[in-house]
Amino acid sequence: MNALDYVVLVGTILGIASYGIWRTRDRRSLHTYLKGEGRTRWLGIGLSVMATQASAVTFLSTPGQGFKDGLGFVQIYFGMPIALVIIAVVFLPIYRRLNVYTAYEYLGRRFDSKTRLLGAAIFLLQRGLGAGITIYAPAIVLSTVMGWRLDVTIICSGLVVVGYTALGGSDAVNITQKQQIAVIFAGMIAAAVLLWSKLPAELTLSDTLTLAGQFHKLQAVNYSFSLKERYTFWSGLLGATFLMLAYFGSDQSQVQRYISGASLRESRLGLMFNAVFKIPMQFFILSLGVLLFVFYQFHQAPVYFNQVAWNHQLAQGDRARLEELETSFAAAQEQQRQNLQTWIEARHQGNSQAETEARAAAAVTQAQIDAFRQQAAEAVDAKKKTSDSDYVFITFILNYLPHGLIGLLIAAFFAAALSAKAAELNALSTTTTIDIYRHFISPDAHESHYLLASKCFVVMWGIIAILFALFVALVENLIQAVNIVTSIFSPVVLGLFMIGFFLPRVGGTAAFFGALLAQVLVIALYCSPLSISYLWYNLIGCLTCVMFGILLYQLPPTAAPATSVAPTE
Amino acid sequence: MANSNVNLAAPVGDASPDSDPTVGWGTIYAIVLGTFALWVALLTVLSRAFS
Repeated sequence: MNALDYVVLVGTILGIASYGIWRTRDRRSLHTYLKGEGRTRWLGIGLSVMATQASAVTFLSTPGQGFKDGLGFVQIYFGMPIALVIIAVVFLPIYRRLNVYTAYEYLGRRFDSKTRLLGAAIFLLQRGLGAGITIYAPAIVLSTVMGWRLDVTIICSGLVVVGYTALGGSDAVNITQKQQIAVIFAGMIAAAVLLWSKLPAELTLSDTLTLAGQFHKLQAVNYSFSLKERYTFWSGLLGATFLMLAYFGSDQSQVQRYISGASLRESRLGLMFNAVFKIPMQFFILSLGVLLFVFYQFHQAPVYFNQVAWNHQLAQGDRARLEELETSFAAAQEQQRQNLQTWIEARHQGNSQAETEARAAAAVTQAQIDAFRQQAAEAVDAKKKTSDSDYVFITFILNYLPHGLIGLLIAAFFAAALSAKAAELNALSTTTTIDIYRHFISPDAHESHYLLASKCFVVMWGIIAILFALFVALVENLIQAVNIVTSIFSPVVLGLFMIGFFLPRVGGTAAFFGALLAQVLVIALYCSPLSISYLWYNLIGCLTCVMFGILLYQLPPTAAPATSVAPTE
Repeated sequence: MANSNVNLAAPVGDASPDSDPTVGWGTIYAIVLGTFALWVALLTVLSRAFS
């Protein structure tokens, strides 16, 4: 990166944050701070929902996933259109009718305080624990390749997001997310155009697709019924529908984005925007990874993309073996280039026999290349916090994009991290203020007191996130633990909402204990030797919660306390 | 169970005050789900054609 890149990076990030603070400088009431002024149109809602879901990992690591495993990951988004239609029809009208600040207020109105506390506590636990990961994950990759200090990267990006979220509240998050997603799309589209232009001139679109298909990179849909395969059409359609229902319907970081719409119509259209455009967006990002795979068939790639880790390993010892591995890998790559040139020529001449032979040779050489990469990965420290595929896209950006655009792409990654983090901080603060502080600790204070408390909670959760991100590297498998917590707890919360919406005879006590029993079952399932793909936990957790709720429904309901949030009708 | 005069169960139809009856939400949802089905079909064809 040169001076121009740094000007673009710092100017973009600080410019967007300053604009958000300036636009929201007159927010004085708790309502406008937590829900905005209620003027957000459908496109603003749609982009805000999209920016909240898409963290930096989406744009940094997903192309690497496409490079390594092809398009199959897109299936996890198959449940999203179905889930968003259900939320638009069922969840959203109720949230708007009750005029709630948080999704968990609904649980309090429908059931009782303990069920509301259960929903809010699970949200705070999983989002609070995961608070640092949104900052840490991109910071570890970017600081490694850029040579920046990890702690400085985490603290600087953390302070920026805490600053504008604490000062401007929900509207600042909405406003900055629109600018941030524009930067992200501009950067990704520019990278895709340049990547395409750098493919060999003789390679047609048909050649590119055939070549990618030859190496199984275009296997987008897998109709296998196996429960052990992580991404299949069925796990995407059934398991991921419940995953998306839980995330968009009962996770406050998303609920807070779409309930701030100018009307029910605007909020619904914002959700439908995501229902239509999320699959093409993920397809585009994964396709970028597939294009990178094709690109590196014709350009020299490192045997291990994380060159800092690789050079560290070279310096640690066993240098001769690793250099031999590099030489063998380079020779295999050269052989592959020749195979593919032969294949293209045969294909263009219509010589099917030569084409078949070249394809067979390319398959053999690719197996050697994959084996060399595997050996390299095993040679580098097995305890490393990131996958080498995380470094594929950033390596291309730094080595092949012009200055200025490099700065824009790095700004795009930070913009994605900040937009997701801001929504999380906003939601954590709102839930802590409304569901815990105002409901249980200080119920009769003045509105200005809650406004100040909300700002303090943004700062508190921001500090927790920064500290978590700084010390996550010291705790083995913490990221994995957080991911597990998220996937096994959120479906049960969804089950509570499903009981509330569809089973009017089931009371708070039955729902509460039904949720606890379902949670024990999901944890037992996770600990059992059955290696079920995590997507299925979403369906199992939600359905068993509903089932236990029905079985226990004769338990007497607990009277729900009156709440200070007045309904609109 | 529910202590509010607001209906807390799933809505039957859409009677909320800010809904717009001229929009035709059924049509919009059908278009959204139809687009999704088209994407699945397209990706399936892509998977089969280049395997």
